[in-house]
Amino acid sequence: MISHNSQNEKPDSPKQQAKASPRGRRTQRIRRYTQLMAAVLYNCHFTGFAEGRIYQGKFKGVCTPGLNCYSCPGAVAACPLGSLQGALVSSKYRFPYYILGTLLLMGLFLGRFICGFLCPFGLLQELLHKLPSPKIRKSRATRILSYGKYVILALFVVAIPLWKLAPGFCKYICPAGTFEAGLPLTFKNKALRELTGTLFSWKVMLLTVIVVLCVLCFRAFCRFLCPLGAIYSFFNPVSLFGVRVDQTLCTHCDACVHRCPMDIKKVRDHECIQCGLCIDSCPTGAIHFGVKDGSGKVSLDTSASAAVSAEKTNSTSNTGRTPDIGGLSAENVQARRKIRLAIAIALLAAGIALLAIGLHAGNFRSVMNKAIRICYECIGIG
Amino acid sequence: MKKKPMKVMKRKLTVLLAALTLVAAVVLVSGCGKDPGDDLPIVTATPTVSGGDPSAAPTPDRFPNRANADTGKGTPKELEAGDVAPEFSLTMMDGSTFRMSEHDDEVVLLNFWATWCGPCVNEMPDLMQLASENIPGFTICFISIDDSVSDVKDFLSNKSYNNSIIGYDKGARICSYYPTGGIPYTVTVVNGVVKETVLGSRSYDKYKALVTNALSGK
Repeated sequence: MISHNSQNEKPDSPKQQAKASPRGRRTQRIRRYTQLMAAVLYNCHFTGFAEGRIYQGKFKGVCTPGLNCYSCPGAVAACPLGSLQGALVSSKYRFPYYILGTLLLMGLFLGRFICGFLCPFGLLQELLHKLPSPKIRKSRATRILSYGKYVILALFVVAIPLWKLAPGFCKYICPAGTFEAGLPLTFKNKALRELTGTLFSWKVMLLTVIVVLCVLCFRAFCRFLCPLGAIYSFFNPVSLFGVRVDQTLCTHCDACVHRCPMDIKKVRDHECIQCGLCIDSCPTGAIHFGVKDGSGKVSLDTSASAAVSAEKTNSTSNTGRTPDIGGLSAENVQARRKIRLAIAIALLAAGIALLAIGLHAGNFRSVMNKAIRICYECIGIG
Repeated sequence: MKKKPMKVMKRKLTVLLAALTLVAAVVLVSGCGKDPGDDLPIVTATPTVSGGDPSAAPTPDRFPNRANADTGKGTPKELEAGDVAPEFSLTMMDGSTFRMSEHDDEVVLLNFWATWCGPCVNEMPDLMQLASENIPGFTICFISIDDSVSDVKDFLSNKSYNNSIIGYDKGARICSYYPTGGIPYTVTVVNGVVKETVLGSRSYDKYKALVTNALSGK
């Protein structure tokens, strides 16, 4: 399970995957630029770092797609996870329409593509993993551990805010809060430094452990602990943009699964961060980035798939049987497509409705009101 | 033949993305990046205690250039020891009115809080206990910065707190004149002049010592 990546890089090493071909390198280069730009864009209040102050403009009512602490001195927008917990703490007084609508729409449009492309903490984890060290490869154990994020989501993001009226994840776990807000703010602000105690020590220790884990294990926080990834994972099967697998071309060789450093069982399952590493590994070129159709399974617009479909149709006319696509009959594929399309439309309608009601109910101001003030829990002095 | 246009397109795409990020960053920081107090009118600079005489008997004109949150007079700025506490009036939860200038001969503890703020809610019982001790020459005023007054009412409905010392800052009017990066934020005012600002929550003993110290140096 543990390997050394100095000479013989393992198949799930992202470095080797990026080296696979010019096409793969190009995809990963674009992804890296996007990650960097997202990190800069989320944290472009540069003077905040120098002054040890947080941005207090109205844009703080808008949530970023990725995990980015709003108490970070550079942050110009709100963290969706922090805002969700804050809204749940206040849910006794007002239902969190706005943040739920935001999460729903972001999940529906992008799913865990956000984790792969738009999360600054994801970028940080990937850079940490580039440090030379023994590497822990994915296994049955890591697959089991990957369910830990759902436990954290239920316990720290939902249960503790609702019952204990505290943002449990921000307060006790969030390494992004400690790294982006706790350390810079306490470094610059003496008054805050004086308030640090056991909780701050705990959070710094946890951050250290997570950093070490990320060096050893690809995206360890993302895979095992991140509740935002857990939320977006629910939308992966119906997300409108991301990787798509053309089942007419797929031979089920599992080359994509073996190449993937995450704990996926198939492309686009709940563990897939849609990073596109698998695209290059597919021998038949069945995996693409794109806007998905209703099924999200069958690509209808590629010439290759059209050719295969035509071939299968011909064989049908010759044999008189319904053609099979990816082990499913054409009828089943159509039925699945309709179900997924219906779910996507229902989610879109629900997301827009929640967002509209939330904006009308003043939820935007509510999110902003919290985000423009230092979250002591995020720092670890709550 | 095919690779060259692809390379050019890729470069163009990268440049376009970088330009978009830069433009968005500039727009965010400049256009939308106004602080809550930016819209407030600037009339005169906030006077500091160096221009007045804190030991003089309190009168309505004691600090003629005093910033006023009700009228928008003065420039909101982060308060420091020695600044004159901006004037404001606040309707308390029992319907009474708290006016800052009416307490210029006392030690006043202004506590900015919100129902969603864990540390604020946690320190509230300690501050309430301090208030219940009826220390002569000492007043405490809780200023809620919640989203609506109904949130505060709901919060207080099952608590036995003294509603005459809790008020709701509608539209963050007062908060903009007492700007802070976070809450709980407590401002100790002695004879109308800021003595100390406290960021974050403190224990009962710390607040008690703070008040005793302020009263002894009054």
